[in-house]
Amino acid sequence: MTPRRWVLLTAVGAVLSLGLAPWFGAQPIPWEAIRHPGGQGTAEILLWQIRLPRVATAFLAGAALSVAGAAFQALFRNPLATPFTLGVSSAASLGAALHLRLGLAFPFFGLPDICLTSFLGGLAAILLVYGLTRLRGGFSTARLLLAGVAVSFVCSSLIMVVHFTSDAYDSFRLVRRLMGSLSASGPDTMWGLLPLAVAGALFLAAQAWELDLLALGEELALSRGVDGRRVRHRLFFATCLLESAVAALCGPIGFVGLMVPHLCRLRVGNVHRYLLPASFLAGGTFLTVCDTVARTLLAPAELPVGVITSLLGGPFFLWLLLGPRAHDLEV
Amino acid sequence: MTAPATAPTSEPILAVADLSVAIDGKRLLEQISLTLRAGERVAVIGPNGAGKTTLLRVLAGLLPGGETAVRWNGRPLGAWPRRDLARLVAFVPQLSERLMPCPVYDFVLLARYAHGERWFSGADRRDRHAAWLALEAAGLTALADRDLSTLSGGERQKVLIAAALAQEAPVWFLDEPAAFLDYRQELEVRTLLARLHREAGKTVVAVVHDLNRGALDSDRIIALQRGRLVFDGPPAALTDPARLRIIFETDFEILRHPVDGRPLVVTRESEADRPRADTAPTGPSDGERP
Repeated sequence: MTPRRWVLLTAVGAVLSLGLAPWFGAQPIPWEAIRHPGGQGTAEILLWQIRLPRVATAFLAGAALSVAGAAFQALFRNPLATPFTLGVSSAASLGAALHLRLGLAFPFFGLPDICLTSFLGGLAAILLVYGLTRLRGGFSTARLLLAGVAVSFVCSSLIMVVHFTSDAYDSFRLVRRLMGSLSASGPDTMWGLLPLAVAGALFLAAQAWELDLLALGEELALSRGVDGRRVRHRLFFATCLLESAVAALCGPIGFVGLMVPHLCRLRVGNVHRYLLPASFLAGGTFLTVCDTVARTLLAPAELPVGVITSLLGGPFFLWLLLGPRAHDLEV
Repeated sequence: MTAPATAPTSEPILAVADLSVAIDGKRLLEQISLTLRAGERVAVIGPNGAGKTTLLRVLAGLLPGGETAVRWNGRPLGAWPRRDLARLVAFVPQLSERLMPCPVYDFVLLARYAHGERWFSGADRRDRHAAWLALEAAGLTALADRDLSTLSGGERQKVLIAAALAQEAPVWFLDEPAAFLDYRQELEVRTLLARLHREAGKTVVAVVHDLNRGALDSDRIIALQRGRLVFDGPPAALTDPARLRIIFETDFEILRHPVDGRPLVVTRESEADRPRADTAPTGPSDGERP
């Protein structure tokens, strides 16, 4: 199959998942509900105010995480180097936790202001991780990943501190936010996520040629005219935008950005003008499906979707480390 | 040191004045000064670790250190935007560099990056045309749809060269274009480079390991030793065992090619290591054993 066909296939998957997922859930919804978007009946409200925003949120979050992961994997030439593994998600969550704990509130172009604190946290983390990696000259993927793990641990501990100093009510709000669950998401979450996810993804897509060259090797990219520093900063910016929006609005959802773009790469190839849209669509589909499973598996109780993705992601990580393509990792 | 062989009338495209580079406190290049003129074909030689590859990378702006000491067309390297520099200098890396799986045509097309700011990566018709011409010039059109990872060493080296062609830079830097190639592939690559130099008028600077393969047939040789420039002149001035001994710390003999008469160099073992010709390998050695 050509890369173009794969993109088409992921688009079909996206349409199917978006169209079907709202109909699954603890409470069955009659088909007629689709015809009355503004209806005040239980079924209409359930479909239009709860299920659809939730499914759309799941799709956008998965798409954002996946496309951000694809960018980092190309930039660092390693499938393990994703925003999640490099501590961006944890730091973004820490930013969000501080925002909640300190009760910050400020205008942010009509977007959820928690995303800005979260963004600053994520950006600080990646600059720190990258700076630490470069500290002793040269670049090593092992050092990058270890710095990411370290920053991730520190941020998790600091989130614990924030928890510890909160009262029961704030702590509960924090848990709800940072568990990696979509159960609290409503239309607001969707409308907050939509512009950030789309802007971040478009910004990454604009760097597709640079990503192609960087994936081939930094030296080759430089010699072809890529301004390594500037492009790296742009990619950091766009990726943190995507990652922090998800972390702030849905909590840290792990491994989507690791699994989906890597699998897409194996099928679609390394040409990012195909890989990025494919990752976006497949990531959205993947998280939509995971969330539907999370909602229905123990219905009426709900699992946090992050649990599902991590349960899948852990073994996938091991497969990357030990599987037939392990020699590609070059750690 | 001898003057370069080409006509000294043209302005130098590259001028290096007193370039010293240290990375992590390790001195890699020391006080290097040289100029390069359009159309020259230069081989950079020297023992392992002499700084040949480092020199090429610093001059091409791939490693830091040459921002002020290196001037391209009179402009300090540090003041060149990357894209502009890429339209002037193409760098062909060593074959051992790991390359991601990628179809040959796409790889060559990617080299067109420097030719215009194109958001959303739309390579235009001119880019596709240039990529195809480059594949034709390198004799690779049959491989256009193959993946890089499935090619032989010689084919991959030619793809790297085709990509540099598509980049349309007048100056080429090559890092050991003949390394890891067998005799036929090496000859093919060398012939291709010579043709591009002759017909396309490229200025070619190549790090060369084997003097007989790609150094002695260039216009000019630059020799480095421990980060210092120790020779800069025409090959004829280098085919001197005493001079070679200083550079490589090894004894050499100069031979003539039986067909075309060009000079060839071979190493000579020192007297102590050489088995004596009058002794049969299995026979008792005379007095060397206790």
